[in-house]
Parts: sequence; structure tokens; C-alpha cells
Amino acid sequence: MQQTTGPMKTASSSWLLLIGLITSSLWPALGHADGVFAFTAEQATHVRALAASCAACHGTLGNAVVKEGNGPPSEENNPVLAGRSREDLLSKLLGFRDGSRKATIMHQHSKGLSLEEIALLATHFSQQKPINQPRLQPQALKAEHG
Amino acid sequence: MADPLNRRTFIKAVGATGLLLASRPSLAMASKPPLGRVVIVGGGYAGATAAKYLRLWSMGSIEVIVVEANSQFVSCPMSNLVLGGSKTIHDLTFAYDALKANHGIVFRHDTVTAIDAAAKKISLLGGTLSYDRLIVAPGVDFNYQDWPMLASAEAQKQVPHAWKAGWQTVNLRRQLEAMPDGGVFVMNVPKAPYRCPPGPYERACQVASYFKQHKAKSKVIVLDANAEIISKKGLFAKVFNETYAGMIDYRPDNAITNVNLASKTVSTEFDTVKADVLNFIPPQRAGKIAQVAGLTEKDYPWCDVNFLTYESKLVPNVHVLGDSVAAGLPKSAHMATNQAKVCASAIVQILSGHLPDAAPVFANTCYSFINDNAAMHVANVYRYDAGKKMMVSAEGGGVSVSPNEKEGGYAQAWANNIWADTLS
Ligand code: HEC
Repeated sequence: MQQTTGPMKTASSSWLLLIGLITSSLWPALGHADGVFAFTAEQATHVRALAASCAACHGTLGNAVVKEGNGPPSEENNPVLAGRSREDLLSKLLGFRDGSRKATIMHQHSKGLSLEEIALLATHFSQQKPINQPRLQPQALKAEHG
Repeated sequence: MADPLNRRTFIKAVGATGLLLASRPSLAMASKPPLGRVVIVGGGYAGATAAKYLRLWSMGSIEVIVVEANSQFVSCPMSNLVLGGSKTIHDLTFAYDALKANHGIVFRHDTVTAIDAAAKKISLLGGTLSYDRLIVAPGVDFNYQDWPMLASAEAQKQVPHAWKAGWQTVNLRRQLEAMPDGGVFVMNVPKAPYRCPPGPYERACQVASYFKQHKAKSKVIVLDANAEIISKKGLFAKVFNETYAGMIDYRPDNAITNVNLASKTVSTEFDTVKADVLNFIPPQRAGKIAQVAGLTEKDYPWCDVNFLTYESKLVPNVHVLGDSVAAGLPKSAHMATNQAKVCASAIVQILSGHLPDAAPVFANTCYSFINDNAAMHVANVYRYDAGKKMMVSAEGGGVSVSPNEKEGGYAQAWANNIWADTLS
């Protein structure tokens, strides 16, 4: 994990803290074996529901729905998180958290999370398989609805 | 926590987080699932999400049956846009087919009449079902006790609540379309807590947005039973006073005390107002089945639960989710799905002999559209407080700086994602 420096333009306090965690306690706690990171059972249970709460905007297991061209003109896609590199996700989340990265909403969400949770989330989403998640198609409301 | 992890532990741990989706739960489902059966009453945001995540996280080894009267899902979030005219109800209506097929979930389109917690059995109009764990997610029940003149389906054709999305939403839109320019739309805000705290204020904006484009001489009067705007206060106050100046007349602390159905006239302690189109949002309480099944106390119409598992504090092995829960937190769709995920995770842990997460954390967001394109949000992370034994607001939450079109796009993306997450 020594090469985990990411975009180090902002040597902010949370970055320094995280690097401290990386080189000391946190990453070993995530279990580093054969190049994969594993959670303890407690961490896995904690992060699965927390990560799932991101799904309202980033899709099931980080696979946000992709735009199909028929939405309103201003419609944006929310970013896909599945299968992105852990370092990339970490740097984005820490940037939101310390305010160095511009956001409409993620600064508010990331500030409520602990650094350990951010590391767990970055690891979790980096391990998900990216798939092409289409938008769910609506249908006509049937007459029997009161 | 610190044991050295090998590949096997890794697979196990990651499996629990749902990576190993290659094995479709529907295919993996044995004839008798080894971990037991969960019956879910209600296929709204909470119930449908609980069903999906129970199947995902148990790797298909928990049997899940959802009892839901309706054959379609109609989203309350975004339904105010039907009133504004930028959406139709058919943009917000979905089948349960993908959820059933992708996850091997069984649906019974039926109504629950009773719960026998001692025997772990429920009665439906068409039979009975036994369970190992029961989830009750019925949404809100409208309390027309003090409003007998508005309780009938006939009366609600004239004065719809449109607070559960469906044909009432369409009806209200048609009334707005038929109203002549210069008319008055009157709506109320019931005393909190009610479903979707920013919803009534968003509704006022949506109707005003329609008027501004098509009937500029018309007015919106909002009679709020609460002392002030109870969600995104600063933002809504600014939109009312600036974007819709002279059109939205917001009156706090102005609970409706009487309704004359024939003349569409409502009285408050201070005013009497005649409406051309009247929208009455009734006071609310936990869904009917929660009351019938003894999940609420006599003097308090919401359900107390353990926030680690969402198990009822009154009835064992019965979990309550969504708007019926007494959480002191916004009754939102995002919140309902969060509760469902914490509950599903806990039930998987319990049925497989493990402990639930001791400190759940989740994020909640409510977007509101102020016209066809611009939206604003309130966002918060909530964290379990072991001392208070409830979910409390974590650091850093907040609202948009101002409504904007970029967030209108994100709000639509939120809807697209929560629909796909809940229903496929
Ligand atoms: C209410 C919607 C919403 C929720 C909930 C949400 N996000 Fe986001 N996320 C966004 C939006 C919108 C952006 C784009 C940046 C912005 O404007 O805030 C984003 C951006 C991101 C990015 C940067 C991606 C990139 O490529 O730039 C990451 C990483 C991320 N979110 C992670 C998370 C995690 C982890 C959670 C759950 C703890 C979460 N988000 C919950 C809406 C959300």
C-alpha cells in the first residue's frame, strides 16, 4: 500500500490522518492478503448496510443507472462507484470531506462518516463488479388503483 | 477483529457484502431454504427493499414472501411533479416483475387482516401464511376521525389528499387544469409527523409553477398546522417570497378547523378561505395493520422499534419499517430503504446465528423541485447512539445553497437509482 498517494495536491489534515492510518493500523485491519483487501466479519456487516444507503443515488452495489437519452435535458447521471480503484474513491471522498473537492451534496454526506468508514466504503465499492445498469422502465397505471 | 485474514475469510466476508452475485439467488434457492421464511407486509419502498436485500445478503437462503394489495408500485417521490405538469403518473408507475424475477421473491396480491404473533402466522383475505420473522411496512394511514365529511371515496373525488400517489394525484391535476385563471388553490400542511416533511411545501411550489406558466392570476394558499415551515425552511421561505411572490400565500400556525365540502370553504382559527381547488392532506398515523396488530400504543399512533434490528418493542419477531416507525426522523423514501437495509442485514445475521451490526450508519436525502427543472436538497448522515438507543444526526448534514438545475438533474438521477435499487 505504500504507493497509495493519489492526487496529493492538497496535503490536508484528513489526508495526513489517512496516510497515518494506512501505514499503521487501518489497512492491516482490513486484511491485506495476496493483493486483496478483506473485511472482518464485523466490518463486512457494518459496511454492507452503510454502502447500500449510497444506492439511492449510486445504484445497487455502486452501479448507478445509465442515461438513455429520453430524460429531461438537465438530467445528469450520478457517478458509478462499482469497480473503481480504491485510491480514486478514497481521494474523492476525502476531498469532499475536507472541502477541497467541489460538490453539490457529497461534502455533506462524507462529513458524517468516520475515516475508517470511508476506507471501508472505498474498498467495498472497488470490489464490486461494474455492470451496465439500465433505467427501470415505467408503465401505465392501471385503472383499479383507487 | 485483528485475526489474519486469508482468502477463505475474504470470500466469506465479501460474500456477505454481496460481491458473489454470479450465483443468482433465485437459482440458488433450495426447495426448503435453510435459514427460514420472512413474510413482508407491504411492497412500498421499505417492504420491496427489505425483500431484495434479504435475498441478496442471505445468498438466497431465506425465503421471502411479500403481501401487497396493489399489482403496481406508484412512487410518491416525484408525484408532486404530476401536479406541476412536468411528469405524468405513468412515469412513476412500475411493475414488480423485475424484483420477483431477479431475486426469487414471491408476491401475494392480498390483504392482511390479522397477525397471530404467538403462532407466528398471519391471516390474509385468501388464506394464512406462517413466518419465522415478519416485517410490517404498511406506510401511513390517513386519520379522518375528525374529518368525517372527507372520509368517503366520493368526498375525496371532490377534495383529494393525493398524498399516496395514484389516481387521486391525477384527479388533483385535472382539477387544476380545469380551474379558470384567477382561481384559488388551497392546501393544508398537517401537524408533524407526517409522510415526507418537505412534500407539502414542494407541492405548493409545483402548483405555483404551473400557475405561473399557464394561469398567472391564480393564487396558492397554504394553511400550515405547524408553527413554521418544517423542512428546508430558509430555502422554501425564499422561494415563496421571491420566485412566487404574490402567488403563494403561506400562513403558518393556521390549522384547518372546519371544512364545508359543498362550497369548498375551509375555516381556521383566524381565517375563512374559499377554494376553487381544495387539497386536504389528512393527519397521519402508522398503517392500519400496525394498529390492528398491537404494534402501536393506545395514546401514540406510531411504532416503537429497536433501531439495530427494527424489531417491534411490543411484539417479538415482528419488525416494522418505513413511515410507520417512530424514529423522530424524516419519513422519507430514502429513510424507508435505509431502515429496510439495516433490518434485512440484522435478520440475515440473526437467522444465521450471528450478531447484527452494533452501530448502524446511513445517509438520508430529500430533494424538492421548485419548478419543472430546479431542485434543492436536505442531506444528513444518521448514526446509532448506543446511549440514546436511537439514530441521531451525525456531523456535516445540510441543505443546498439555493435551488438549481444541476441538482434538478441529480434529483432525477436519485429517483432513477432508488427505483432501480428498490424494484429490480
Ligand atoms: C443523495 C444522493 C447521494 C448519496 C446518498 C450519495 N451520493 Fe455520492 N455523489 C452524489 C452526487 C450528486 C455526486 C457528484 C458530486 C456532488 O455534486 O456532490 C456524488 C459523487 C460521489 C463520489 C465521486 C465520484 C466521482 O467520480 O467523482 C463518490 C466516491 C461518492 N459520491 C461516494 C458516495 C458514497 C460512498 C455514498 C454513501 C455513503 C454516497 N456517495 C452517497 C450523490 C449522492
